[in-house]
Parts: sequence; C-alpha cells; structure tokens
Amino acid sequence: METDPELIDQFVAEATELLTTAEEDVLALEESGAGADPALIDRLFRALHTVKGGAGLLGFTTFARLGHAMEDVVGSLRAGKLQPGAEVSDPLLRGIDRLRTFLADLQNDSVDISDELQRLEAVLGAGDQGQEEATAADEASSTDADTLRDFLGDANEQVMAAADALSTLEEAKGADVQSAAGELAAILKNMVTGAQKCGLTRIADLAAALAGLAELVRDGQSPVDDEVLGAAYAGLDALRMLLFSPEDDEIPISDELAKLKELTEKRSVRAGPGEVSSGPPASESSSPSASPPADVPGEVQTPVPSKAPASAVEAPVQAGGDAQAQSIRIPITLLDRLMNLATELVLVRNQNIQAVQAKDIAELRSISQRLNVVTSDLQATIMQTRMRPVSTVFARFKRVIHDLGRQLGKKIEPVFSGGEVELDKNILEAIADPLLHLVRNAADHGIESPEERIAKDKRPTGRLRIKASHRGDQVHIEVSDDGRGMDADELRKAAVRKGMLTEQEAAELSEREAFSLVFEPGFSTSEVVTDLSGRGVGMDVVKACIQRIGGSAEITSTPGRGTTVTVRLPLTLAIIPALIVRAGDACLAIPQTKIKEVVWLQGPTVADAIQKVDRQEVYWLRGQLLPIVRLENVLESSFGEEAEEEDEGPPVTALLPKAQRTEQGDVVAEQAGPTEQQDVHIVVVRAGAEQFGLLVNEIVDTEEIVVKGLHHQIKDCDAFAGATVLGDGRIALIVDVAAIAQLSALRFAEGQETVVGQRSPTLEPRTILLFDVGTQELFAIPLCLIIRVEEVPVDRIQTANGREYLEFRGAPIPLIRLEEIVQGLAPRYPDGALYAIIPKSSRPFGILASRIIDNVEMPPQADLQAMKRPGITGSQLIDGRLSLMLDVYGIIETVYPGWLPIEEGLAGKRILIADDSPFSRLLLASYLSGTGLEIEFASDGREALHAIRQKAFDLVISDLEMPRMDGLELAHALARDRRFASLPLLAVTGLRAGVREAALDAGFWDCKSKSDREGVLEAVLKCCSPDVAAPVKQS
Amino acid sequence: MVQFISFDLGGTFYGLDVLVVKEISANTDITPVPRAARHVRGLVTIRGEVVLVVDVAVVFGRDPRKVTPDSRIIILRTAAELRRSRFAESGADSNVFGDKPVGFLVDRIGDVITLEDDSVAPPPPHLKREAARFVQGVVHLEGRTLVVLNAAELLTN
Repeated sequence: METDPELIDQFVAEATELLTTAEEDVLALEESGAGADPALIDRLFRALHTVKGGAGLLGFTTFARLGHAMEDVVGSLRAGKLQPGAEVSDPLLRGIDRLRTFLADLQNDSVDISDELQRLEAVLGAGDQGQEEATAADEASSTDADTLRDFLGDANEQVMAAADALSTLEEAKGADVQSAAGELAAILKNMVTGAQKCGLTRIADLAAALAGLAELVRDGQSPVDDEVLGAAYAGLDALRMLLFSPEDDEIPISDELAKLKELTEKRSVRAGPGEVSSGPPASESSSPSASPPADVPGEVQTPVPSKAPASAVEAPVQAGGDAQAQSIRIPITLLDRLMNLATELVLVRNQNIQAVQAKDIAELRSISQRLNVVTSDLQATIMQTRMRPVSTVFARFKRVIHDLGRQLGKKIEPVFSGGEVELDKNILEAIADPLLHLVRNAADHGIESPEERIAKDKRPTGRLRIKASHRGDQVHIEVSDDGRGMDADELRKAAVRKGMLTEQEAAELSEREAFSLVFEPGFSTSEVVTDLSGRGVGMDVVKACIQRIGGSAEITSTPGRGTTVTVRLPLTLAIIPALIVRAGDACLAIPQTKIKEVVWLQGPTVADAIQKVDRQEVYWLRGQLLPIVRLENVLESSFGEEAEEEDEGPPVTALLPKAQRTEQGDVVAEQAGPTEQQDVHIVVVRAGAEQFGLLVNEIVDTEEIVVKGLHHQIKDCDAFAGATVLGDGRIALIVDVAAIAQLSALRFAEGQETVVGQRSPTLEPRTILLFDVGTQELFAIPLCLIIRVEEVPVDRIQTANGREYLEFRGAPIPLIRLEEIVQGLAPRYPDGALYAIIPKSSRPFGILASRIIDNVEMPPQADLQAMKRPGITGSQLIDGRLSLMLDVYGIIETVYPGWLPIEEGLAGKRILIADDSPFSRLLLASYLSGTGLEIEFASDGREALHAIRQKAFDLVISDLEMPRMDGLELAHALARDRRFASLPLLAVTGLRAGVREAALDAGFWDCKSKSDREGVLEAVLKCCSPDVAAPVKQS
Repeated sequence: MVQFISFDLGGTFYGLDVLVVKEISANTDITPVPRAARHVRGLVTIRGEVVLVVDVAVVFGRDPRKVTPDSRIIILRTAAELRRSRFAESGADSNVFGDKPVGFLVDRIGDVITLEDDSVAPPPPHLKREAARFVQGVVHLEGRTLVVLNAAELLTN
C-alpha cells in the first residue's frame, strides 16, 4: 500500500502549524514560569500528541519517537513533576527544530535524534527515569483506556492476519509476491497507527520496522529469501509477545528490531544502483534532475530511502520545498464564495448564449456589465485564497529573538503588531528570510547589552518592534529597535574608507542616501562581523530579495535612539492595476502602486513649467521640486550609437528621432523647442522613499494587467519588470520604476528638494477644487488631498445593500453623495455622467459631484469662516457664491465608521495647531479627523504659547512662518521652560528647502510638509506614542 | 527519418529540426523592446503568451531583416514542451531552450523536408568559424543546399 501523497501533504501542513503554536506555547511557558496556565500546557501536550500520532500513522518512526519523548516532558510538566523554565524549554525547542527539519525532508526518516532524545530524557530526571516513564504510560492508559482496549482487540487479529499474509508470501511467486507483501505492509501500518494512538511506542516501532521490510519486498527491491523471512517471523513473534502484555517494558525486542532495521537498510541500499538498469524506463532515471517538478511528489511517498546516491542529495531539498508549496489552507467561507461566483458566472454565460441567439443588443450590454462584475469578484476572491496573514512569519521571529537574546546575553523584548495584515503567499515566503536577517541585525548590532543600556540611561531590556500595516496598495513592514542607532557621518566615512566614494561624493550624500549605503554590496559597518548577521548574507542581498518581488527597503536611524528599516511590499504579484502610457512610440505600463499622481501639462505651458537646474529638469509640484525623467529618452539612451550605423534599420531604431541620439544634455535643449507644443503628462512615481516625475506623451488607459515574466535576454535591459498583453492585443512592457531612476542617474536630496536655495513663491498648499451637486452652493476640497477625479457614467455605478459603488483600480469603492452628510441639500445630478472625486486615503472612496467648476488659488488671507457642521469645516465666498469646505475624512467616517484605519492611541489626546492660515489649520485638522483627537487652534506663535501655558497639550503642531512669533521662536520659547521639556513639537511647513534642519535644531521633533497627509499623520502618531522620548537636543 | 522545416533568410535556404519547432506564426506585429540587444527584435503575442522574437540574421552578423508580408516567425518549443515531446528520446539537452517561448524571424517559410537519418553532411570547412557554430550540417537537394541550423546553439549565444 502506497501512502497517499495527499495525506502526507496534509500531515506536513498540519504539523507545521501545530509546531508553530507549540513553539509559541513553549516560549510563553518559559516566560510565565511556575505560574503557567494549565490550559497552555494542555494545548502544548495536545499539539505534540497530534503531531506524534500523525507521524506514526504515516510510518515516520523517528519523528514519532522524538515527538513522544517531547510529549513525555510536557506530560511531566502537566503532572507538576517539572517546573517550566529555560532548562525545560531548551530541549523542547531543540526538539521542535529537529521535527521541523524533518518535515522539510520527509524521506530521511533515519536522522540521528539521539542528542535531542538525550536532552529530553535528562530533563525527565536521570534518577527515576523508569518511574517517570511508567507514569507517562499510566497517564496514557488512564486517559485512553478505551482506545487501548479497542486496539488490543484489533491488534491480535491483525497479528494473525499478518502471519497469514507472511506465509502466503513465503509460497507466492511472480506478481503474487508483491501483492502479498503489499497486504502485509498494509496490515502492519494499521497496527502502527493504532499503537501510536495508545502511546505504545514499542509496538509501533516494531510494527513499523516490519512494515518497512514488507514494503521493500512489495517494491521489488528485495527478494523473499530466508534472511527476510527469518527476520519477519521473529519480528511477528516479538510483536505477539508485546501485545500479550502491552505495558511490560521488560520484554526484549531490541534484537528483532535491530535485525529488521539492518536488513531493510541493507536491502534498500543494495537495490539502489540495481534499479537503474532493471527498474523504470531509462529516460526517467538518466536525468532525474531534469524531470518536471510534477514527478517530485511521487518520490516523496516512499518513506524508505531507495534512490540512487547521486540524486538523493538534491531530491530531498526539492521535495521539502515543494511539499510545502503545493498545498494551502483555505477557509470554507472563501470556497463557498468562489462556488457562488462560479454559479453566477455560469448563469451569466447562459443568459449570454440566449441573448446572442436572440441578437438582443440591449440585453447583451447589461450582461457584459454583469460579466464584468462577476469576473472581478471572482478574480479578487481567487487572489484572496493566496493571501496569508503576516503573523505566520512573525511567529518564527518570536523564537529567533528569544534565542538571539540568550546567545548574545541581551535582554530583548519583541513587540509585534499588524500580524493580521495579509500578503500573497509567494511574497510572504520570499520576504521571510530578508526579514529574518533584519531582525538578526537589529538584535545583534542594534540593541546594546543590558550594561551598556543602563549606562546610557535606557531600560535594560531592548525593544525590537516588528510592525505590518496597510498603506494604500502596499504593505509596509517595519523592523525597528531602540538600540544604538547609526550615525550618517560614520557611514559616509566608512564609504570613503572602503573606497566606494570619494570624500566629496560622500559629503554630498543626504542623510537618507547615507543610510542607504548600508544596502550596498560589501558595506558592513560593524567592525566585528559576528557569527549572527555577518554570515555572508549582507544587506545588499536583503535589498535584492525585496526588490525582486517588487518591493523596496529604506533605513532611518538616530544615533543612540535606534534604527528602523521599512520594507514596502506589493500585495500581490500576479495581476496588478497599471497605468498604460505612451512615451514616444512605445506603449508602456506603470504599476499603480508606484504612482502618486499624474500631472497634465497643456502644450503652451510645458516650456514654462519644466525648468532646468544644473542639467536636471525639474518641475515645481506644490512647493516641492520634482526631478523629471523623460521616459522616452531613458529607454533609448543605451543603444543610440549602434543604431546610428544603420541606415535602414528595423522599426526599433525608427523610433528615435535623430535629435535625441546626441548627448543627453543637448537633447533637453532641443526638446525645449517647438516639440513642446504638445501636451505632456508627468507621472509622479515613487522609487523607495524618493519620488520623481516620468514625463510621458499620453495617458492611454488604466487597466488591470496580467504580469508575464521576461525572457532573460530582455531582463538585461534593466528597465522593465515584465510584459503584459493589453485588452486590444497589443504588448506593453511594464516599467521598472526603481531601475529607471537608476538608469537616469537621478539624485535625490533630503525631502525631495534637489536644489536648495531656490524658493518657489507659491509653496503653501492652498489650491482648492470647486464643484457642485447641482445646487446654489459650491463645495471645495483642497487639491492636495485628491488623487483623482474620475468621470463616471451613471450606469457604471453599482448598487449593493443600498450603497453605491464604483470600480476603481479593480476594486469596488464606496461612493458618497453629499446629501447624506450635509443637511438641507437638494441636489440635482445629471442623467449622463457624474464625477467621482477620490481623495488620498489608504482605503479609497469617492465623493460624487455633478459638475467640476474649477481649481482656484485661495488668497493667503482668505476669510475662511470655521464652521461646525457635519462634513463641513469652513465656508468662504468665492466669486459671490458660498463655497463650503468639505471635511473629506470626517465624511467617510460618518458614513462608514471605521473605514479609515484607526490610529490607535490618539483618542482623547489634546493637540494644538498653530498656523496663521485658516486654510492650513483646517487642512491639518482634516487630516486628523476621525482620530478622536481634541483639536484647538492658535493663529500665531504668541497665541500658541499662551494656550500652552494655560492648558496641558499632548502635542503641538506648528507652522514655521507666522506673524508676531514664528515657529522657531515658539520652539525656543518652549525650550527655555522646563515644564515643556517633554512636550512633543511637530513642525509643518510649505517651505521645505533647508528649513528642516533649522526646525530640528530649534527643538522640533520632526518637520513635515503641510500637503503630506500621511507624513503628518505618521509624525503625529510617533510623537504621541508613549515610548518615544524627546530627541536629544544639541547644545 | 529526420524532418526539417525549411525557410528562406536573406537568400539562403535553411532548415530547422521539426522536433524543436512548435508552430509558425504569421503575426509579425512585433513590439520593439527599448534597450534590448540588437538581435532581439521584440515581442509578439500568440494566444496570450508573450514570445521573444530573435532576428537570426543579426546573430549571424548580418543586417537586420525587413518585415514583409511573407515574413514568418518560427516559434520554438520551450524546454518543458521539449521534454514532453519526441525530442526527449534523442537524449539531447533541452534546458537551453529555456522556460519562456522564443521565435525566429524569417523571410519566407518553405516545405517540410523529410530525409534519411544520415543524409546531413558536416558543414563545409570554408564556413566562417563564427557562423559554423550555428550550423549542424548541410544537405544537397536538387541543385539547392539546405543549411541545417542548430537551434540550441542559436539560443545560447
């Protein structure tokens, strides 16, 4: 009987999960010490018991034995004979590790577990080990008395049946030999199962050994000779004896057992080479490594090592990896939903057939719409089946941190959050190792020894925080420690010392660039490469791993306070929303996750809008200087010289207008000429923490694209992440944004400002979008809060549960009509098309408008009346019409409470916003709406100072440029007053160039751009979090 | 018996073993790939698959071919497809064919030519050493010479 491969898969999946919980429980036990929760011990016991049982069932005897020994130890814990502690948890953890390696390599059941067993036995107590074992057996028999009785009844019959089968085998010839041996093996395996359930390991071991021999015969690897028959009969006799008095440990079976094992091993080894000539067809065995992976599971089934030595080396690795990758657990509810969707799809198809036959165009149109909905639902649901919570990876880290702490003699407290965040299975698997490396790094290099920490006036226990969170279409995972941190200057010096940079280059690096040096190959700051994180795998590998799956990594650090590595990851790999653009003649796809926004420049304005600073083209985007890359130029840059030799080249070279094949600097100059008359679009993209503008000629469409891998010949171009087939059958290459940034040798400076010292006149974010809903009053939303305004034909709006939805970037987003919020509104929406205004948000939603009026600049001293009405923050007369400023985030919170991620720990805190511009005040307040913060305002520094002296605030957000007393003066004033030493101060500004340093010097904890909602929110959260201390101020 | 798909490329009559050929496509709507090597002509799509098109002429060191209405793309089997085919029986290494489909751009497709196993003669010595790598042998047929190409070598360049 072959063991069902599905059964093995299931066992592996289940055992892996159980071991994970077991590991956590062991760690928790150690922590809680003597007062451990009995329920915890029970759970641990059950987990080990189940794992052991399953292993026995499948004939993995070594595994079962180890499992049993571990179970014994936990049994003693349960009985109170042992106390939880390091000396108990250590052998248990080692056992769990061993079982894990075993799961990855099921074929190898003959691993040496003596060390683990010894440790476990030592724990059980060297003195009265016999007694202990007897108690354990007692325990098993008392709890499972019924099972035991049943088993013994069955087993006696089974032994008789086995004896029958053996005598049949003795006389059988030809094919009958194999069937008889198969029967024998099956009977014995049943017995193993039963014996395992009752904890009768000796019986199980013996029966398993017999079964192993029978399987060899069945598989034709051993003839039925006297030696085999002798061992088998002797084994069966011993088995009979054991069954007669199952709990008598004195009955010697070691001889029989040894004989059986020896024989099995000898025969299977001998059979190995012989198999090649006589066994399966030559083509299969001649190239075992070239056979398709589908063959591999077949090999996993045979628990007896029977392969030729050469392939035995690599096969287990493959098999282990595949066994885990080939099955996945899916919640029933998800399957039900898939089933429902499939049913719906069939329904739509049937309707479609009918409509086609009837040539009913109107009906077809509505069917096509339903098809659209069903398909995207189906796709989304199928994608969900691949999603796994990040906690599965976190669980591993808990253990690693525990071990590291012990090894390094440090006290490290792991803090996990966001474990429920889900990621595609493939991504999760791909990041596990890089993250592990980051965790090791943090523990090894980041966190100091307790003595060092005490000397620095820190808590002796270091904190290692691993946090996952959703950010739009991405998942961020942060690994941060509160250790010694890194000094950007040290990094600069190290880079010079290693000859990676010249002194001048190093000096020019911004802080962010300096930190990113750590990711360069061959760069290690730790003077001593320790055993832990210096093992040949550097941060460069970590970065490469993360980039390979479309993610990015960034380091920030403060000397003495700690280091944070942020890993940004896409949710999934297979199907992604993308913007289809045209650059020159090429049709390209840019992944939406990389896109921040798109700016449309109309022909005549292009020349003015795009300026050149030191050969680098730039664009002022709401007060930030954005480096511009002409996509067309970058893509053509490398093969210009070659192409020029061709007079009648292929269409590839026809792409290039002659003028562009010159040096890049000149290209720009020529481009600034008449060609600029056409409209262009700047796609603002993110490459890591930096952003830049990709200049393209046309925005074609947004599409959900299926990513196809590239042939290695194209991968060498270093510009594309893949290709895709568009809806119209054309091929579009997918732009690799990070690679483009590298190709065009962009340099970024702190805070995006490429050039310092130049101040744009209009830096305050005060452009607003005006629209109406067919009413007298206008509505206004700050433009910097909007990512997109989409024209929506009425029939694209779907209704479900009385709510309206719009498909946006492949997912339905809720639509809000203003009359739901604003009382007394009598809107008139047009019949044809509406507009959906989509604000920046981690979870998108839309606000419906009937007409977009205009973008207008608010005058700096606008007479903005604050207003306390639901959904409205203020009002102003614009061109004689009343314009109501909307509180976009307040609106979504009112209609869909909990839609925006709840920022924990902010509720009830009191915050003061000091800014002279009423618009900015409202803007900042709107960022914070829904957080439960209590917000007060001040219109300049003096007012703020007064308020702070009157009342206790948890945080002060201040503009830098204010009349009477500006932000810096306010900070200095507060710094002189010891009462406010720990009051968090956050600077916000429209003028970013060069002021950041000044703000930090003055004592602000951080400085953010006013139009950067996420940044402000993040900073507020950070400032309000209880374990963040005030920055050390330089004197 | 061996069979070759014959084709014309710049006036020379070439042949490719049918076992390595998956299909012939008339879709020469090739999307160029910026920054790619010169012999990479671009990408075409065949039933949703993206196929890399190689300009064999460039590999031979000649000028790129022009696409005409007669032009065709010979799409080769991938390594996995070869393993499932009769090709595997020959014991030849299929790994160089890779896991992503590749096609050769040719001027015109000819007949399938069936020959005895031993009728392919070794390449003549006067072939340039560079080109000789790609030639498996030659066959003389009623006044024409069929140059049999070695697809595996072409793919490893």
